[in-house]
Amino acid sequence: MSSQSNRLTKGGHINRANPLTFSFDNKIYQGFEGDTLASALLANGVRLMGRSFKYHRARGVLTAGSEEPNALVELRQGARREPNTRATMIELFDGLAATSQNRFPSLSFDFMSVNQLFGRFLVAGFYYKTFMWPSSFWESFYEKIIRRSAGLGRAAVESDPDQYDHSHGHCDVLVVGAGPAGLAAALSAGRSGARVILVEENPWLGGALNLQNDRIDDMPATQWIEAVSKELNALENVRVMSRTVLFGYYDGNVMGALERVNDHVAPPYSDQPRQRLWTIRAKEIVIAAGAHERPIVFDNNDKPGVMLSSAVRTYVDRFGVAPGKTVAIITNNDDAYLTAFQLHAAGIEVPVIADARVNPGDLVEKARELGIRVETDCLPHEAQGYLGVTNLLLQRSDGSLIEKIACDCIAVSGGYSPNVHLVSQSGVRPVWDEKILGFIPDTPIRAERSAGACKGTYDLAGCLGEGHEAGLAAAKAAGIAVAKSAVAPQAGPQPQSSIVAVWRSPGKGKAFVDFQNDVTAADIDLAHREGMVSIEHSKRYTTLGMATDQGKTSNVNGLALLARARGEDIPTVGTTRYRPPYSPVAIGAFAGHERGVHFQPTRLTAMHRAHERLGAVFVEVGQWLRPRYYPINDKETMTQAIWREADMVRKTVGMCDVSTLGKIEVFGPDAAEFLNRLYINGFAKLPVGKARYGLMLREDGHVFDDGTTSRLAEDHYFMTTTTANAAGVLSHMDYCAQVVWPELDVAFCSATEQWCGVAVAGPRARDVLTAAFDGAIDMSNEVLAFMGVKEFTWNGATARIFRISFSGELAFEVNVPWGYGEAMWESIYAAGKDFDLIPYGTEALGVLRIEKGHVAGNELDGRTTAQDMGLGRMMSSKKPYIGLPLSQREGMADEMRPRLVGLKPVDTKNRLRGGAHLVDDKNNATHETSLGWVTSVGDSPAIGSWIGLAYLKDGPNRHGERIFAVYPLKDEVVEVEICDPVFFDAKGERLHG
Amino acid sequence: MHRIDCPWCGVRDESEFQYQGDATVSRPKFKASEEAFFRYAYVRENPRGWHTEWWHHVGGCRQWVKVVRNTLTHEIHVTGTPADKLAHPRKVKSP
Amino acid sequence: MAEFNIVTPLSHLGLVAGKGTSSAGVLLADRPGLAIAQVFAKKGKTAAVAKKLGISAEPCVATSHENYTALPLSPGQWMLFATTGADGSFQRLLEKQIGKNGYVSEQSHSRAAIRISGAKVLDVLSKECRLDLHSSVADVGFCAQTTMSGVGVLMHKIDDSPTFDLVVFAGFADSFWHWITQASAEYGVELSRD
Ligand SMILES: [Zn+2]
Repeated sequence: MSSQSNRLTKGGHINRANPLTFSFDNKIYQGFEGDTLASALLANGVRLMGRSFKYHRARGVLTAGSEEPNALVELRQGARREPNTRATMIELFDGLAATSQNRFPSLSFDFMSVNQLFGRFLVAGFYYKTFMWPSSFWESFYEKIIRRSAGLGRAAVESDPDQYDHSHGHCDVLVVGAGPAGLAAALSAGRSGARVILVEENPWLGGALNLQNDRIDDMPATQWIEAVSKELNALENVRVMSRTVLFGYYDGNVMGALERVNDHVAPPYSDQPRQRLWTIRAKEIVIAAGAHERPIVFDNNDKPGVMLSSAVRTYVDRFGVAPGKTVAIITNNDDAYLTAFQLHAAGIEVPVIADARVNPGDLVEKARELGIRVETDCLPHEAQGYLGVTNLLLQRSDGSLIEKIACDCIAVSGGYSPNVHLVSQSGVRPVWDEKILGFIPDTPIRAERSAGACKGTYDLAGCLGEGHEAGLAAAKAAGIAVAKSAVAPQAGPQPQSSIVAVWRSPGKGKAFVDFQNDVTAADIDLAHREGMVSIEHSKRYTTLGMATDQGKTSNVNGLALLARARGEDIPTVGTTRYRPPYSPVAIGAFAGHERGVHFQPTRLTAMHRAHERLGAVFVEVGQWLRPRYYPINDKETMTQAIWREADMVRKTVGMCDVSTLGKIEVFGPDAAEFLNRLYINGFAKLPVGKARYGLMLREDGHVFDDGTTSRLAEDHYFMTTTTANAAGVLSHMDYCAQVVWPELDVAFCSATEQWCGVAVAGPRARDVLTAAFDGAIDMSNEVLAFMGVKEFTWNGATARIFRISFSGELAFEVNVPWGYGEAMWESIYAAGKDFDLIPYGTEALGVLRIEKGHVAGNELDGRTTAQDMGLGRMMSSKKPYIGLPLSQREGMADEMRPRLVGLKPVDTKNRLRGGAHLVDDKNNATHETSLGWVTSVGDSPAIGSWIGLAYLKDGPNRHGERIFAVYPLKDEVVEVEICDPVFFDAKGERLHG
Repeated sequence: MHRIDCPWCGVRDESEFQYQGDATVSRPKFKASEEAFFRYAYVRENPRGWHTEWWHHVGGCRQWVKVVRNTLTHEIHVTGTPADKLAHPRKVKSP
Repeated sequence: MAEFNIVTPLSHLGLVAGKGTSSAGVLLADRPGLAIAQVFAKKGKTAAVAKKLGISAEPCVATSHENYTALPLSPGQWMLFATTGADGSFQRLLEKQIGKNGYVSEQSHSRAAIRISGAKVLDVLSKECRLDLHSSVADVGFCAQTTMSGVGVLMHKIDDSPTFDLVVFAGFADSFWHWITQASAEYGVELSRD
């Protein structure tokens, strides 16, 4: 186990009493509770943490936060392996295992780093140039090479064992970020009584305040943070969410947030989710997202050991880690001086502060008093070293070299970029502020306001004041009465830092702008020379800002360089629009619990348990589970079971669960008129106690749905729909009743689950039901003729029996309330023992209806008309109905449209296939010669061969002719005979039995 | 995500609604010409800016809700019942 | 005839009555056997029906009586719940009460009612419920139709502890119950039957 060679002897918000063991690339290290993976690795003297995307250059950590572009690792192992996690955001836990990525065979010796030698081929737009020709090489060759060499981490192969959850939040004021401005905003809004949600991506509150020695309200900043945190947590109307990042700003003032519930502990998490995806609806939003420090672009500025100045400060102050033994500082503003002072206080050598400014101001004196050398008008020329920095070369702005400084760490500050990601997502165009050399938000277009550093306000008193005001204004805008006496937290004045632009320190080497996507200053110039003058084009051509870090540290440098190449100023060039997500979000978090059995809800019928007991094999029909067939033993195949079930229905009797049909109760004095307008056939004159098969069209004249509808009273109908279309029919009826004919007095509701149904079909159907219901209902032809409906009482329940038949046999459908369904099924099943009754599933049901030429879902495919189905005679000429006007159009009424026919294989050993196309000449089967297609097929016991239904041009006039059904997917050609779609019992005698 | 003010239920998430298209066309009377029905079934404007649309609150009260929405900015100006006559805002806001 | 057995959408789970002393963060109870009926007013008769039944016609507010609770569903439509009368007698009673002013659809068997309470009830509901259930918005008696975990839910706030009733279609009851018990697991959950 390595010692923590770079751990300072004191300081840091870490718990030295709780050492944690972790591994990186299988090597074991020790860190402390409170560390991040990055800080723990630095504490152990590990600078090399990754290889870059394109050139496989050695990279170390650049930042100490979520903007990290370099130190991306694979976290955890096996099924939990997560690629591209930022070492700066991974809280250390005991047993943590991380692996570097994008290197082979090892991080310190990476074979693909030869890419650096071929660097001139990998410039901007290389995807488009190098790999364009020949195009056939793309998939087979280039893509594989690119994916192997230019890649990030590997996703886990196994299914993710962790749980993810969703949650929904609502508030008056959502505060983004818990730095000084955010805390002040949460405090003022919270104190006024507004419902506040304060979101902070770090585990701790305070943001940049943690790195300052200032005083607020006469106490040290860290003490103030604690006091505020205590007060906020005590307020019932405030919810503080740390370890949570707001990744997207959406319409309706809705924000998406990712809460890292358990990422900081070792898995498994028992019943808790690993992460929770929040959808937060806010009346008002205060954005206090802070600012990102940016690097300076100079030669080899990506060597491990080159870090942002604020990051160096964070590692020293927060984690008690020395990022190096000798830390050289380069800057163009005041911020890096704070870092120098802090390093000095921690006893770390600071050989030089190289300040690009000619007259930096007072801090120079302070540094020199501490014995720190300050060089003004001084720029970095080049960082040197193999796997990490060993030297820094300094130069004047005119390019003349000064000297070589030995150091193992370079702290860089190129100024700050206000974090305008979220406002930009909301549609606001950020505007350039020359004073701070950064983009700040323009006027809001949503209910939001920015405060603090994300608005370009960098002094503490200013941040606190702005946050306070923003919190009050937001609460007020959300309708909360705000006290006028509220006072902002107070801090002393600070001098405003001056800054000088250094977009590219002179040099000819590789100077990186976007570290994660390996975009150099030269790439941007090249893109410009090749015509990519728009920032949006330049971005896509060079891939600047398109990596998982969303260009947080690189965007401003990048577009400043583009502006320089164009010879224009930065506001003219403008900035790209940021898009969600601000930070990467795992797909698992988006899916939440909607995976496995909960991918969508499952709908079960009242008789589901009975089917399970009978060993049914189920099939999903929409969300319903329906028995597909009931194998009698392990040996019976699906084909055998279907054939047996269909055969037994015709020979004796079968029962089938038909509960999934949509059922709609329709009430009202205008119910009859309403149905008359919905169906192509008449329902107004349907007598009470009778059922009728009905067909509905869409407005465009195509068939929409069919079903049997009964009249229970003058003003009360009971409608059924197909299982698949139940929801659609109800929505259609809502539209008709609410929008089209609001004058009709009609009301309706779903009764699909109130009633469940069993169809009993076959020559012995009446015998079975008489026994099952103990003669509670007379089912004789005289009392209950075909299409008759009767109500009766069974064991205290209202039951309805419908004399309808889908199979063409003597058949009844019995409906009872849900709770009686299972009992009814069992009663019928038991009574059926004496009559050789079998249960049958959807497959046998399909065979039986094909034998009778009844259309179903396959024939109602949304492109067919009533005439196509041979049901044109149902179209009433006595009344108008939906779909009538457009069903008369020439193309809809054309006699030569494909129309319903039956098909039989000429050689009865052949099988038919749904989806096969019909042609006259089997040697000329093309799209153009297709005469129609096969819709449904089945192996018919009654006919003794496969049979099928099909749509065929001029079909009704071709009965008896032979054509070919071609099925290219299986290379099958079957000669078929065209026949009437009613294969069996054409006169319909059996159903009157 | 749109937040739609259902006249019955109050403000609800877009996910509870089904978008049902252009609310500026209304179904012709049965006696109308085939051409009128053709236009009703097939012909739609595709406006950039303010539009009046149907959103069916199918995951809530099942009412059809009329919504005046900006197709450019996604801003919702006003909502109402099918009987309500809803006007577009006079000035078109730029995005 | 086979052994006769009336089932309810969740009776296959074999839940038993709760002890009422649980320290679980979430209590889930199946409420089987409620009488449920959907009431429709004829055109122009909404006020008349509301008056006959003594219920409010305003949205999102339940009216609770000694004998039944009415949840308004949409203009002129309510869902009414009673503890007895699932055999259809509640529906017939309401039909008689409203007379020619409207219609009543028997729905006692069509739904499952799940009662959820406990200290963590809002944490569980907010996982899938997109509505703001904060007491400043949703007072006792608040009711709404919404969608949770892909299932249509008619919800009703019973008391301020808070307790909610969630009413779902019978076919989805098993799936919904499975989800909500899973969602409650992290807080500790007690399952029972009323
Ligand atoms: Zn609604």
